Amino acid sequence: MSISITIDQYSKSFGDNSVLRDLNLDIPAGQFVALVGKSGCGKSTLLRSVAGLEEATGGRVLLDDQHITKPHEQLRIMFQDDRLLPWRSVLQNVAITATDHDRAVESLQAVGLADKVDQWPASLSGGQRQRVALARALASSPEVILFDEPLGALDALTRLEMQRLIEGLWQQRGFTSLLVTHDVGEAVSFADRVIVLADGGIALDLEIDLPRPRLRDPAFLAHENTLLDAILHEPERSHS
Amino acid sequence: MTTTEEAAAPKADVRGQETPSSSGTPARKKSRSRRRLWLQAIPWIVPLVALVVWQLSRSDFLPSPVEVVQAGVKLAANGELAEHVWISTRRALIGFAIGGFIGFALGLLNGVSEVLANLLDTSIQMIRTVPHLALIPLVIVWFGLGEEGKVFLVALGVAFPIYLNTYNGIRNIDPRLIEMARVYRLSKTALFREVIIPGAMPSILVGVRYALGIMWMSLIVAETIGSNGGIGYLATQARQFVQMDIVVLTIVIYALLGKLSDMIAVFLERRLLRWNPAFRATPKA
Repeated sequence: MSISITIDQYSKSFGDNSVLRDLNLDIPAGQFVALVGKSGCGKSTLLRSVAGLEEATGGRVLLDDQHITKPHEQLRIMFQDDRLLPWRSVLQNVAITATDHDRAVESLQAVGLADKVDQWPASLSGGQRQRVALARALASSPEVILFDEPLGALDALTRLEMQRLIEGLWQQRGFTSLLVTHDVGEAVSFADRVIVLADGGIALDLEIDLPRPRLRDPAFLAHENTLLDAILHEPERSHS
Repeated sequence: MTTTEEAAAPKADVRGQETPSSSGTPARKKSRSRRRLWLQAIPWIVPLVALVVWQLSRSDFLPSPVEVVQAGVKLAANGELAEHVWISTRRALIGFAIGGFIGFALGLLNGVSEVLANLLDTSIQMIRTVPHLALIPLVIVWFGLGEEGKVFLVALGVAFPIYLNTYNGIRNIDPRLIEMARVYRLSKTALFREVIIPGAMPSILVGVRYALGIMWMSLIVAETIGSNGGIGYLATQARQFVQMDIVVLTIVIYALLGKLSDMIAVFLERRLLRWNPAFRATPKA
């Protein structure tokens, strides 16, 4: 049973700077939603709000029926940086939320790193560390996983590998997913639905109904172009 | 976690990594181990040269190294030396334990609570800058001439470097790791055990290393107040009877004890900071 996300009349400002204004968004349980937009458009703030890391200026966020004021038990984040504890072994890092040893090992197997359990994070490559972070997020079988540009720091090939891995695990386990990315191609290849954020609100809410695994065919590129148009042209529209 | 193996890991292993990894012929192995020996000898060249120069430059004011060694042997033979070293070491260790605990506790509290840091840090910094010698009259009035005053001075000296480095270590923990711990809903205890203490550990150990040095220095000052035992007492006595060989001997003993403390600190760093490639003594398996 996954959990649905409801964002209700949500506003957030930092001092005088209003980042999100009266935003409404419903994400059904099990859906994979991508948030895209220019840097500073508030997509990371929205993700952090869902995680319970930001206090709302107005409105609220609900996971199922629960009003979010602090991190939810069934929610995990995968950050852009791995945020592994450098002084704990790979296995200890994955088992950080007191999940038992077997589940931690299972989780490492799922990301293909079962042979690295006793290593220190410092001895792994960037891609491997990010896979450990994914294993850590999965270890407690959460119902919601938020991805905050998790592939941003990886090289192109590792990124492709990670994309396949995350997509496969999502299909297998059906957790509700919210992905923040600046890469429109990544959004289209992952998501059931892509939200373009601009000027503190939703500029476009686009359904992606392509079969998986997705190829970069004309339909894919058409979606990409629609999204890019929405992201790039939006400010001009607001000025006129 | 093969404790003995890692604990005993020689320095040379680090250097072994730097040389080309082809562990080839016996001849090459031999030349490499000779190189290792040479590298380990290097730090002792300067003390040895100093010793030779000292022996050669005879003077009426300074006993020669041989005379100092003779004095040492004589005092060691009748058990006096061991007794004084033990008395001093005990004072040092008790003072270190008390001061270390207080410094660590204060550092922890101030590192975690901004309110407490605001309340206490300024006062602690003020007390920190008071020289030990200035405190001696007060210490005598408070504690008399017994053990307590000496332990107090050592504890006072030790507490500050540990406090300062614990406090800084905690404040400099990566806030992103704290945030991760929040999202993963770690309990308060788990947050301390998994993130805060190990995160501050490199800094705390720097404090321990400083504190071990200050521990002996505070003790020298402390043992000049009416003692009836300890290395400082030995030195004071010898000075009164102008036994320069014993005076120099006590200085050498302080130097050796200081070096020993530092080696313990380095060992702790190697052991507790194994995760950090900069401190790893053993090559990864």
